[in-house]
Amino acid sequence: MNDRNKIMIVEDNDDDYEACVVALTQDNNLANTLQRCTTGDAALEFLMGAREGNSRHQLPSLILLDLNLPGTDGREVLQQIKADKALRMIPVVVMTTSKDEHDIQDCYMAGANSYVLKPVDLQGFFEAVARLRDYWFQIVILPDPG
Amino acid sequence: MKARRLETAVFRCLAGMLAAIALCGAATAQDDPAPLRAGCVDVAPLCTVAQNGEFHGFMVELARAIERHTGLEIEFEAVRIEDVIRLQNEGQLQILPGTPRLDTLAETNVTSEPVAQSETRFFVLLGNQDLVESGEPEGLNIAYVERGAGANFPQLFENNRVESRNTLDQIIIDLLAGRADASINSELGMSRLLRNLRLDSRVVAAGDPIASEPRLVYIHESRADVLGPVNDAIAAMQASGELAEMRQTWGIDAPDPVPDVLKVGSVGFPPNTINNADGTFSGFAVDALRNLADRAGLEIEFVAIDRAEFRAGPSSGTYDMLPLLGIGPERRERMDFTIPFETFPHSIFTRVGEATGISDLDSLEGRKVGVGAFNMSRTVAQAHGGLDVQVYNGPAAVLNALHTGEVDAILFVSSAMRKQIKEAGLARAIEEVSPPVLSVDGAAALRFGLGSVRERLNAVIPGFLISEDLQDLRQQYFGPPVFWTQTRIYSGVSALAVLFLAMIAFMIWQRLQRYRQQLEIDQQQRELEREQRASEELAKLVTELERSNRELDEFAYTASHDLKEPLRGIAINANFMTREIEPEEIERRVARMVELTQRMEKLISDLLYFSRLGRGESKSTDIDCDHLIRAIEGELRETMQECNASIVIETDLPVLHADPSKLKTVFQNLIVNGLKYNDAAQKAVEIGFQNDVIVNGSSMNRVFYVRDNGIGIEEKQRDKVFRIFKRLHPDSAYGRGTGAGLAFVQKIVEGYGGKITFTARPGGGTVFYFSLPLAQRENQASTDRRENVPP
Repeated sequence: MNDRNKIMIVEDNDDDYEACVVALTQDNNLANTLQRCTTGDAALEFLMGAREGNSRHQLPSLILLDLNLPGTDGREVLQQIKADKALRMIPVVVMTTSKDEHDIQDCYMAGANSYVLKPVDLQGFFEAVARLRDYWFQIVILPDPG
Repeated sequence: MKARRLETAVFRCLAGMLAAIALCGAATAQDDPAPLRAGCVDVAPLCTVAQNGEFHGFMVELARAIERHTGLEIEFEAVRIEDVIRLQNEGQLQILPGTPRLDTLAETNVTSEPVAQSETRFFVLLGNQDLVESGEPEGLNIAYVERGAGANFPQLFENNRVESRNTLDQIIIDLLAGRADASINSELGMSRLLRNLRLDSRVVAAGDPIASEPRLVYIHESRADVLGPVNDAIAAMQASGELAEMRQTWGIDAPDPVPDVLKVGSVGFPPNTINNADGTFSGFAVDALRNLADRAGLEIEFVAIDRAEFRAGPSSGTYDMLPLLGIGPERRERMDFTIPFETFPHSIFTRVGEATGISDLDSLEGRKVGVGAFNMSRTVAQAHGGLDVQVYNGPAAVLNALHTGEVDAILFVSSAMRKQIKEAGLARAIEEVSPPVLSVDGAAALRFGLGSVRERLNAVIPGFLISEDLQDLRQQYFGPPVFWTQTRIYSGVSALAVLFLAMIAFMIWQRLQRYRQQLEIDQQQRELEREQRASEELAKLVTELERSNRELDEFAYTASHDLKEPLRGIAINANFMTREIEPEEIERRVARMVELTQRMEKLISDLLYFSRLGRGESKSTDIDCDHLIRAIEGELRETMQECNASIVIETDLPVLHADPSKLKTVFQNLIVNGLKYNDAAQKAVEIGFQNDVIVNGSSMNRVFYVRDNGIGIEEKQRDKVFRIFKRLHPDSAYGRGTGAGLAFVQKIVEGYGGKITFTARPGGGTVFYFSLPLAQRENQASTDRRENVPP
C-alpha cells in the first residue's frame, strides 16, 4: 500500500463517515489518503476536475459510494463514473443500507465492483470495512489512476 | 185464387148445412152435395200442377167458370194419363172439362156442348208449307203417332206413304232429318212440344186443319143431373165471349198466323212503358223492343192496353207481344218469352226501424207480407210457404198497406217500389232491406204461334245487350247508374274501416317497435355506460392500487433506509461511546444520540402523517385563503424578520373548500421552502391565483402559484423533489430537514384531484403551480375573474 492509493468516500451521513474512517484508519496510516464528498454532485465535480488534470485533485484508487445521497444520488454517480472512459477503471464499492434486489442488480449492471451492506452494529461495520480495505489494497492489484 | 177458395169454403159450408137440415128433416133424397171430382193429367196448357199444389190450365179455368155459373163444386186431383179414362168410366172421377171426343168414354158418360175445337193439322219444316197447302198432298212420307189423330185419315194412305211413329219426339226428329215430309198431329200438343223444344220456328203447322173435333165436358152418368146447368153455363160463356177469351189465354185455339205488323201492348207502367197523352209510346221497354225489332227486321206497332188485358197476356185476337215481362213458370204456360234482356231485382221493404232481423224470405216467415197481384214476387212469396201473403193491386196499394200497418213487410220490384216511395213522399218512413232478395229475369212476351218472331228477336238480343244503345236507353230512363249503391257504400265503409284499423294497428306496431328499439338502445347504452363506468372504476382502482403500491414501496424503502439511518447513527455513537474515556466526547456522543432520536421521531411522525394523508378522512369547510396565508405568515414572523423575508399576495384569492389543516400544510411547506432554499438578500414569496396559464407546455386552469426568488431546482432533480425524505442538499447547505414537505404537498393536491408542477431555474427562483378544490360559489366567480398576473 503506497501513499498514492487514495480512497474517495461519498457519504453524507456523518456517523457513517466517522465509523468508516475509524475502520479504515485503525492499525494503519491511511488517514491522509481519504477524500470525503457529502453529495453526489460534489463527488462528480471532484472526479471530473482530477481527470482534467486539476493539480489540486488526485484521482482515487477506490471509491466507496453510499447510495442514499441528497440531490444526485449514488446510483447516478455510479452511472456517470462508469460511463466515463477515464474514470471507468476506478473500482467502485457501493456501501449502502439497501438490501433491495433492484438496487443490487442495478448497481452491478451499472458497473459496481462490489456491493456491501452497512451492518447496523459497529463491530460488524468495522470488520466489513477492514476486510474491504485488505481486499482492495493487499490482494487486488489496482490500476494506476494517475 | 184465395178469394175463390174462400167462396168454395163458404159454399161447402152452406152445402153442409143444407145437408144437415135435410137429414134432420128426414126429407127425401136431395141432389148429392158432394163435389164433382175432376182428374188433372198434368198436360199443359190443359191442366198442370204447380209446385204449391195448385192446379192451372184451360180445364181448371173452365171448371172454375162452370162453378161460378152453376154453383157446383169441382175438385181436381192429379191422376196419371193412363188411368184417367178408367177412373172416369168407373165413376171415381165425375167430370172431365174440355176433353176431345173419345169413344172410350161414350158408354158411361154424357157430354156437353162443345167448348173448343181440337184441330188436327199437317206439320212441316218451315218453307215446306206448300207441300200440304192444298190439303190433298201426294207422294209424301207422312208420319203420325200410333193411336194418334193421324190414323183417322185413310184417304191419305192411297197417294202417300203414311207411317206411324212411337212418340211425338220421333216424328219431330224425322221431320228435321228429312225422313218424313210431313206429319199429322193434334195442333195443341204438337205446338206445345215444338215450343218447348224451341223448334216452333223450324217445324210449323201448315195448310188448313184437316180435321176439327170438338172439345167437350164429359160428365159421368152418375152425375148426369148436372149436364143441364153445365150446358147453360157454356152457352152463357159462349155468348159473353168469356169462353173465347179463356181459349185465347191458354192457347187452345189454333194461333193466328204471324202478322205483317206485330201488335205490342203497352199498359203504361213507367219507366218501362209510358203511354203518352198524344198517343205515342215511350219508355225503356218500348224503346228497347223498337231497337230489337229494328235489328231483327220486324215491324211492330204499339197499342195501349188496360190492366186486364195486360194480366191476360198476349194472345191471338188481342195483341201479339208485351215489350217486357218478368218470366215465371205459370206465365210460360200462357205465353212465350224471348231470351231475357233485363232483370228485375225484388226487395223487401219495411217501415223504418223494423228491418232488424229481416234479410231474406226465411226471415219473413210468420209475418204479413204484401205483394203485387201480377208480380213475380207474389208467385215466389206464395211458393215459399210460411209467409202470410197479402195481395194488392199495383205498387201504390202495396206501399199503402205497409205504410198503414196492414202488413209487416212488402216484397216488390225494387226500382218500381223505390220510385213509388219517392212519389208518395215516404222516403223517411220506409226502409229497403239490402241487398234484393230475388232477381227475376225479364224478356219480351209473345203470344203462341210467333216462334219465328221469337227466334229472330233472340238472334239479335245478345248483340243488343252489349250495345251502346242499351246503355243509352238505361241512361235515358233510369238515369246514370248509381255508383254508390248500398252494397258499395257498405263495402266502401268496411274497406275504409279496415284500412283505418290496419293503419292504426300499423302505427301501434311501429310505436311498439320503436319503443322496443329505444328500450334496446337504452339498455345497450346503460350496459355500455356500466361497462365504461366499470372500466373507469377499474382503471381508477388500478391507478389507485399502483399508487398505493408505489407508496408502499416507497414506505418500505424509506423504512429500511431512512429510518435505519438514524438508528445506525445511534448504534455507531453508542459503540464509540463505550470506547471513549473523555467526558466531553461522551457528552458529544450522547447529545448526538439524542439528536438522532429526535430525528428518528420526526421521520416516524412525518411518515405517519404522510400515510394518513392518503386516507382522506377529513372535514372540508370553506376557507378564506388570505386568512390562511396571513396566519402562516404570523407563525413564521420571527424567522422572516431574521432573514429579511416577505410574503406577498398578488391577486384576489378564491375561497377554497377543503380540510384547513391540509391546506395549511400545502401553503406552509411551499412558503417555507421558498424562504429556506434562498440565498437572496431580500427573500420573497409571492402567492396568487390564475385562471389560465401554460406551465411546461401544458395548459392549467384555475391554479394557485407560489413563486420565490430562491435557488431554484435543477432540471435533473425534477423527479426527485416530490419523493418523500428525498433531499437535494446536505444538511450542511440549507439546514436540516426530513425532506417530506413537498411529498405532503403533492399528496394533498392529488388527493383533491388536482395537479402540482413547477418551473425553475437554478438560481432563478421556483414557481409552484397547483390546483385545489374551490368553494361552490367560486366556480362561477372565478370564471369572471380576469386578474391575470403573469409570474
